[in-house]
Amino acid sequence: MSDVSVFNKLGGAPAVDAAVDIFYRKVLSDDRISHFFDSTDMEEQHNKQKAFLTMAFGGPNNYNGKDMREAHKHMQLTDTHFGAVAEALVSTLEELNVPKEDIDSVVEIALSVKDDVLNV
Amino acid sequence: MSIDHSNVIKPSQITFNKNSITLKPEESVLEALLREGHAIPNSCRAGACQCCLMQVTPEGKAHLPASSQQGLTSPEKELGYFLSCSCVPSNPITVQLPSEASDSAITTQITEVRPLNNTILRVRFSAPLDYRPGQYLNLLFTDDAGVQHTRSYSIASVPELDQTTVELHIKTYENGVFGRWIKGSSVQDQNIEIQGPLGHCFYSDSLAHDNTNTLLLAGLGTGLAPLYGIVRDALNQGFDKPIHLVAGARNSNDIYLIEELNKLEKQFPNLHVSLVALEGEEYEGIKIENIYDFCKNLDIDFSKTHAFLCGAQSFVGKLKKQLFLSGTPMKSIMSDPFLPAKNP
Repeated sequence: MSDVSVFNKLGGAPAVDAAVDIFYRKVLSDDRISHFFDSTDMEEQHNKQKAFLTMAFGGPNNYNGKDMREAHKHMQLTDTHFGAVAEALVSTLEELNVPKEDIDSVVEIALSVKDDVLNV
Repeated sequence: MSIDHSNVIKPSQITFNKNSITLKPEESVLEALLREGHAIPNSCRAGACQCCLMQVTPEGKAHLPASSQQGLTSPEKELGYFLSCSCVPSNPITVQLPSEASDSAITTQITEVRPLNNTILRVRFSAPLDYRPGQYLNLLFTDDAGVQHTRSYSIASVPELDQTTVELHIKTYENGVFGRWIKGSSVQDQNIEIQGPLGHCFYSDSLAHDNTNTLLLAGLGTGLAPLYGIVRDALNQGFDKPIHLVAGARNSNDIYLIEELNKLEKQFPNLHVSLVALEGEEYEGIKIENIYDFCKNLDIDFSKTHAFLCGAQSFVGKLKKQLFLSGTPMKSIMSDPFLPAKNP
């Protein structure tokens, strides 16, 4: 699932660093999903968001379907939750003036893990 | 037949666990260590996940390429942390895993124990420690029953101002082990073992030169101890943009160090000290207000603020979230959450 060309085109690790605060702020401010993060350690969660963005940007990562399923298994996630995260992702990239075609590539990668996240 | 070596770049060397390894051309520190069979945690190998974090000795800091510190906080950079997957050093360096940094203990004698208020003691001892104000120490001591205890306390002193005198502010509890131990008769002559320094919550000189335009230091209770060290360190290093120091407590009686803070505020016009308590009487300029609201209402640009938050974990977590949502970058929020001790 790693597409290093997209990752490099977006600017690699520094691009992830630029995006993660904006993205995490959006996630924490969205009433549809913010409650999932109430009792979590912010730094730990910030690192997880960074790992997620690295994956979605097509960067090198260790994401696999089994871990994805396991991590989200007890959260009873629905399309609404997944959609909220996807919206946060897209609006983050728009804010950073990422060209539409690259946003599409990122969304495509994010969608590839949807079934695992929702445990369907 | 002879081979012309003239345009081959001289390979660099790293030292790890007293073993020297010669790097192959373009080889990263991580790759060389793995090649030699060392177990170094790693994952993405692209400088993103930070799993392969290592630490260089102080002499080696200048030889780290900037790309190997991408995404690290300024204290991490200052302590010589780097991402071994992204580090191809130009000169020989000595490296270690971060956890090995300070696990040896030194023994010293307590020289002063003085109450700062009803429950907080100022404890001083002399030790030749290489620390940054705001870092913490582990104190190892043995109680009357012969049980050994470890407690972590933040450092309130500044090496450049206080020389080898190290100062801690220790809150004592009715049945707390340290309180009972320190109040024991001949404690002033007792030896104490210390481990450290540890922790990443301290001022870095780079804050005077980046786009930071305000420092916000907020603490509850003895969270003021590291902040008192950090603020004096920042002022001593010449940070001349506004600094807001907010010292909070549940009851206004519990606010301490008022005289020292007032003195510091008079001496430095860019320092603004606020004392905030949730309840109790207003005296000495103490405001009765919720500390979260107080910080929210400060007239500062949160996106250019660098914050230091110290005190109970719940306080640090809540204020960190508030600041982050107000626009403060995650990397600009240093924190030292105090965790409850596990007995014994």
